[in-house]
Amino acid sequence: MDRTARPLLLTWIALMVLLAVTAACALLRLGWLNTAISLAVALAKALLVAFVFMRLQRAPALLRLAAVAGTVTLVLLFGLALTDYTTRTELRAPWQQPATVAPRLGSR
Amino acid sequence: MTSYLAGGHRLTDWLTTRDHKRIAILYAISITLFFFLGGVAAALIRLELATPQGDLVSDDTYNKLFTAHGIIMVWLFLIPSIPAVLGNFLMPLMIGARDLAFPRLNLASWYLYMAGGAIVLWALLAGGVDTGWTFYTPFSSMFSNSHVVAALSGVLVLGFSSILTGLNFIVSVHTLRAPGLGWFRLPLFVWANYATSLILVLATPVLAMTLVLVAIERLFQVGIFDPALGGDPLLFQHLFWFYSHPAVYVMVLPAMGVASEIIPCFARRPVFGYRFMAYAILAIAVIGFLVWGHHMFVSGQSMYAGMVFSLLSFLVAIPSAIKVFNWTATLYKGSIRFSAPMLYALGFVGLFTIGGLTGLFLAALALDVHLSDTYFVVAHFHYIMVGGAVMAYLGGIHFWWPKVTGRMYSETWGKVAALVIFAGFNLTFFPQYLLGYAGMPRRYHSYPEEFQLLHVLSSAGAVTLAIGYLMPLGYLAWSLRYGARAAANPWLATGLEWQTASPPPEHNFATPPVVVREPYAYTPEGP
Amino acid sequence: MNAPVLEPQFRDHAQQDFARSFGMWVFLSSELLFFGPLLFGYLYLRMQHPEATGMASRHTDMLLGTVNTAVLLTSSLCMALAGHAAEGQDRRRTVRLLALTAALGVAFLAIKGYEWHQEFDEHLFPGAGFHPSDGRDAGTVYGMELFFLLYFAATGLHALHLSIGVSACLWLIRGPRSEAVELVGLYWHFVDVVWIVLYPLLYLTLRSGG
Repeated sequence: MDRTARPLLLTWIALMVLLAVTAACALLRLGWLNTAISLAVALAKALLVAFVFMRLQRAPALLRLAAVAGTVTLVLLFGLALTDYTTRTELRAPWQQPATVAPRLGSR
Repeated sequence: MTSYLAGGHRLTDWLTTRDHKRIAILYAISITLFFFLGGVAAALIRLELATPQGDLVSDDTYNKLFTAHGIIMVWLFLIPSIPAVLGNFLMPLMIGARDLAFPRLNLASWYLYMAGGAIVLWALLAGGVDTGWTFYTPFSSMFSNSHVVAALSGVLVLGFSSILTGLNFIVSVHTLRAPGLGWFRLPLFVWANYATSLILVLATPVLAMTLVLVAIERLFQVGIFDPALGGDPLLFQHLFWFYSHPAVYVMVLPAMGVASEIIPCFARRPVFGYRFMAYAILAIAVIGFLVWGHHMFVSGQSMYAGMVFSLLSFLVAIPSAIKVFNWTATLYKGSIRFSAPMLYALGFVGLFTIGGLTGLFLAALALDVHLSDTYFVVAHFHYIMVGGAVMAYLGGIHFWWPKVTGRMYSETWGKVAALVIFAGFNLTFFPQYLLGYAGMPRRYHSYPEEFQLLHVLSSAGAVTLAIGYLMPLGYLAWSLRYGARAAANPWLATGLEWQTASPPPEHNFATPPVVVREPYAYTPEGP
Repeated sequence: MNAPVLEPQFRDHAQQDFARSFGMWVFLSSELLFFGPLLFGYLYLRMQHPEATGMASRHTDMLLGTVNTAVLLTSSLCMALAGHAAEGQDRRRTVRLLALTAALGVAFLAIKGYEWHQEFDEHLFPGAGFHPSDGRDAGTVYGMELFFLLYFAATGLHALHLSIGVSACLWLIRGPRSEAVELVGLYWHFVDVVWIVLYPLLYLTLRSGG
């Protein structure tokens, strides 16, 4: 393996370390930090794969824009839908007539 | 050089073509068939509604009719119409390219369209779907006893067809433009289809997954969208409308692009405010992603979310209004010729304005409480979809007919049909505003006696509209055989597509064009 | 290695390669949105049924999930190295690395299949027959069933994408052109990124009860 491939190997090592960290932290009781850490680590891993393996680091601006566009749209979906979910209290339906759709698939 | 039509004659040559122009023709034929199928459903609906009693069809059948009409018209006609027919044909020509970036993907798009269409057709023939084209849960997932999963599958496949078309356009516009053709020298038709493609690529996948979840919910009876089983019907609506609102901009942006090509040509003036028109197109596409909750004002959505969506919905009207002002300003001091395409384009501007303004009525929360789920909404979206998008599509068909077929159609018949369609359209749909305001609910097959007069007017309008739509079938087909041969540029229009023969040769241009002029360099005498 | 064909709509190979890379990125953007509703459904579930989500999540096999993540990350390394070798015109090395990538992908699918089999046996597959061992009241069971709906849907969709990736690798082995390896590589890494996001959401949620 020549020297130019070294960043790839180093990235892999970083990914493995991050994986170990996130798995270990998940087993500790850290309250809200659990979620924060696992999401932060996931973001870090994703960025490493995107920038190094997918070569976004050296890519023309247009490719980076394409990468970002999907994420931004997803953020818009989450953000605006959350304006509803964070300001609405769910009132559980006390009763609903049973479904009238034919046989139910499943593991039975 | 031989025209693209003169090449391989056999059916297999057409079915295995990679030529974007032939693929456009394949789409044109298929969407026309589906348009008339959706039209038959509409005719039956209007026939039923001519009398107050539900006497023509049962209530179940009526539900299946308006569902069929919606599914066919939205996914099998409107969404592909301008992009897949006119866009496919013209985009490479307008950017000076020899084809789109991915010709085989383009053909695959058409095959996916046909597959999706076949599945939807099967669902309809096997007994139909009664959920409405909006598939609201939990009715569609837990209670409807119709062919929901089949319909969902068909729409899923159609979604992928449109994603591939959008992808193709985006890559082509970025990478295949001719030398000298910077972004701000592009025709607005290209801008419009580009923005449309962004929406197709980003919004359609959300619909696809949402429909899969409804199918899963239906088959396994797990309640992600069912409140009694721990889910939320509004979750479905958020996800569904996140696609379906941008989808209406997929339907209208290309129509605006067509209008921006026709109006400068037949007013002999450059389009007013070109840059603002381009920015407005992008603004509509972007803000269009932010307004979906206005379909859910009365569905149980939080009032605060309603206010946010209402405000954003008012904002999206601004770029649309800028475009209407600019089209009007383009006409000012122009040398206007009322050709058939121009009649369609002007009709588009006027009817789109009315439809758009009534959209503002609906964007106002308090008004929407009264108007939601009434015929006011039905009239609003038909003014945009039919008065707007369909008229622009027909205008584009006429405008580019000489280029696509190499023949001139009968201008007299063209004008007559345009006027009949305009009259028929308004007679059909204006009474529906009044009906809705007076309280007539949508999706009802019977109604109180006092609404009958307006319904009869609307149904009479529908008959007129149907005649108007059938007329082009006649004279356009006639022109293929007997029409005068078209010159390369019969309208003396600007744009690269007019710099090559009518019909164009297989790879579009004998020599690759180089662009040196600004777009729409019209003068009263010629380009 | 065999020379690629220049299609008539492109003026040179540089334009063709760039257009195809760009096309793949646009496609991956749309694929991200395809997973979007599942992710939002998960967020909805966490917000509305936090306890049931935690209980259900603890039923997933964290060891196998973590091992699988390592497998997939390693496969991404192999894929990246394959792309590197292809750029250097080293055909034998490229083919070996592609085969290794595909093998790791198959290993992932095998482990996943085993996990699903386990969960199926524990009556955790949603629908008729869903019966978690620690389900208390109806509300909690509904919440757990929704978690498993999202779990099977997300991992199923991911597995489908991975299978397509494995097939692409095997197809590439016949004629590994550098440009094609790059395109398949982008797709492969995207599938990896999806898993990187799914792993904490499905396996680590409230794992410690905290």
